[in-house]
Amino acid sequence: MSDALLTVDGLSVALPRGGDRPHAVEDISFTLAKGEILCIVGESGSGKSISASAIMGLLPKRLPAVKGSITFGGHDLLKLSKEGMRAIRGKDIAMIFQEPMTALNPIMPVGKQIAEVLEAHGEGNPASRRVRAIELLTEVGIPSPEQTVDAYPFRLSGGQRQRVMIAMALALKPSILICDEPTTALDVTTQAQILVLIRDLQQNQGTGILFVTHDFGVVAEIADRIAVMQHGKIVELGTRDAVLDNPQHPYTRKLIDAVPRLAMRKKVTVNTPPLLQIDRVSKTYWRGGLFAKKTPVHAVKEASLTLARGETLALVGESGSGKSTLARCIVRLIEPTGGTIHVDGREITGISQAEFKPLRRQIQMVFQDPFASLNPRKRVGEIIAEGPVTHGMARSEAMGKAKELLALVGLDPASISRFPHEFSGGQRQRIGLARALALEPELLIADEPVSALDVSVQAQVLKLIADMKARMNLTMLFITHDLRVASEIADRIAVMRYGEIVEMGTPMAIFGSPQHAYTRALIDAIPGVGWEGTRR
Amino acid sequence: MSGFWKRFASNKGAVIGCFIFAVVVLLAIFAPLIAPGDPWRMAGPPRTDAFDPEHWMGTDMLGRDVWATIVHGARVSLIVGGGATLAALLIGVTLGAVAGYCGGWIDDVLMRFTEFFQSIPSFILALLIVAIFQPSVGSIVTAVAIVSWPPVARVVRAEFLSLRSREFVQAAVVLGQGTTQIIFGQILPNALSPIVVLSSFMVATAILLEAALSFLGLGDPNVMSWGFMIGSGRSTIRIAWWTSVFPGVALFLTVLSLNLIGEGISDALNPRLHDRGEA
Repeated sequence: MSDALLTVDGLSVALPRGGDRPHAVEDISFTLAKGEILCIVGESGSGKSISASAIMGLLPKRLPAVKGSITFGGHDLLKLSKEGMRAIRGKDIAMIFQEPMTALNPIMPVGKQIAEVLEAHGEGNPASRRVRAIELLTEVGIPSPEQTVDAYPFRLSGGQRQRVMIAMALALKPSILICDEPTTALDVTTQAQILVLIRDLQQNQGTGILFVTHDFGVVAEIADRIAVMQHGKIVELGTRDAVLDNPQHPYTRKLIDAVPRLAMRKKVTVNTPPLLQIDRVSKTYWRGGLFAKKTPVHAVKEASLTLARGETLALVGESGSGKSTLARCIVRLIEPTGGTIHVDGREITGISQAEFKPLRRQIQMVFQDPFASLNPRKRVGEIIAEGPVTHGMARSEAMGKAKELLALVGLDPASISRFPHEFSGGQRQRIGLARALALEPELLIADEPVSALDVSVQAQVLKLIADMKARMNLTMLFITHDLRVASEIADRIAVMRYGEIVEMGTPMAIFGSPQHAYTRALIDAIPGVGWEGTRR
Repeated sequence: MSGFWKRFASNKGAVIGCFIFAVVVLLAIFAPLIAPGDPWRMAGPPRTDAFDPEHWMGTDMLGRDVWATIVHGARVSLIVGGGATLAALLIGVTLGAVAGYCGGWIDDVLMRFTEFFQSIPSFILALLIVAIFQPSVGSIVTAVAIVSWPPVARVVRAEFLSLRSREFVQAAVVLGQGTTQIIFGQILPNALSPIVVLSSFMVATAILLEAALSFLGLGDPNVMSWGFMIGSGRSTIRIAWWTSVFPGVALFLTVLSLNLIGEGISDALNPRLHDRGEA
């Protein structure tokens, strides 16, 4: 292609010896044209971020580029000196990162940080740089840029920080922008805004954008062309429509099939007595110290909901909406400040921990982080057997049960004597589920159990949770930020915002005729919602 | 764990430290065999020069064999070092764990209590305690333990503060485990590494404190100690240097070995801290 801005040809990056494969990236080739968005999509460990780092000359020393070339403006970037690379970095090729919280210097006003980029490349004087910084902040849609230019990063929300990062990246009008999972850490509505912003940039300024992501919804939303990576190789490369609608490689097909569908299932009428009744539960924190005036923060505000036996309710909301706080009130990891919770007709608010202990068997929880939720110093068998042992089962019997449960969640029963670090994220989540099921609970609370997992693993774990639910006749409260996941698993969906439940209904009702403005905004923000109609 | 031992063994300083410390331990265990008899008795003519064929480290003003005092002095050093460290760990780990896990006013009360001990110069406090109770191995161990637990409490509290919010602790609460079980069964095993590192340095400090107390004449009068020998040889250092130099070297090597071991454990537990430059 003659209009190619950037050509990557046969690039291989070595992994240190002892890795699971000899190359982090092996023999990849692609081009990026002016005004094009090329999405590199893959699961964790596929080498997508390494490819982006290689172009920026940011490869760590242990991972040298051993073969191939990266051609930009007539130069091979791999052969360029440090000084040569520095001149290109920021000016011609800019990059934005996943974590807007850590990518900005916390003790420097954002305007100064933008000006720094200009200064580093010898642009203008302090006054003109400030003007340009305000201009850039306006361009990326920051409200009241004249004030924000002097604000410190902690004053800004995650989405605003990511906008500042984009402003910094755009300061010198680069011809290429590399985005490494820029919206992964953001809420879905913020993500939608950032994606629109990136789209606009590409259309107005003709920037070539290399967009690294794991999320097919985002890909469907933004890509012109797609490169799918697996184990360090590009297994499929083509236009958006070709790859999404007619994937050729089995791995691509598997990935696309794993993306949960926005199903408009009707409610299976459950006419059983309620197992869980939450009545106007509130949790208020008081912010402020000894001398500062105390201000209330309402994490949960008068939330009420009922769960029938055998029903699955998905609690959906963005970060800070209070969904996790509400869940933790039910298992009494947090004491609510108001309202009542009944489980199986018994009130559990206000009773002592000792009175609550026998009831704990009935209510179990699966946690979000597969790496923090298992004690790293304990063997898997012990971790699963702990619950039954605590409630009086003999140790040997509990160990036998742990073996059965491991088999049930699809792991080798022989692995009871292994430690958590020997398992992958998905396998750990299975262990966490086995631990919760060991007490044979009636109510299972799942707090974002699949959010930290790759999409294909996520599909497997979701399926396992659904299987277990049916087999053990569980009632489930499933907390998620992902409406796709919610629609796949839930009989009913409750939408939370600022600590309040704003809407509750069947997936059919929520997606078909959302009543609340916020629900509509959430649905519109689902990445790739337009792709949903054309999905096979 | 095999990775830990490999990294520990590849650290030259740590291996040398282990070797020196092993020699000290062997001397202490087999003291009655290596230097039979009472180290306090007169074994030869007073002020025998060092490198004498009979007494290779010489004798002091009262004819005591310096080598015998070193061999027997190793016992009291190790007893005080080990005993005081164990006692300090017991106090420090318990208070630190409770403060870090419970938080709130319990944390406030326990930490103010800890700071109270930290605000008193530790050596003066130890002197005072030994002077009030008669000088004996028991009172010295108590005194050293009382002045050395606050840092343990602070380190353990900090570890607990960060570990208690982990999801595996919440999972244990949801399973119905009690507070004691969670503190000692779930969190403490994860906080062990800094405690192990800290305790090897504490043994060294305790040995030094004991030597300093004995030097000032507050040692147990019934047991031979390096600090006592350095103190008693101090006035004759110009005519009989060996009476204080050899016990001093013994003290120096023992403390050095413990510091090398502590550093070796610390490096082996946190290999990344030192590889950063290569990444």
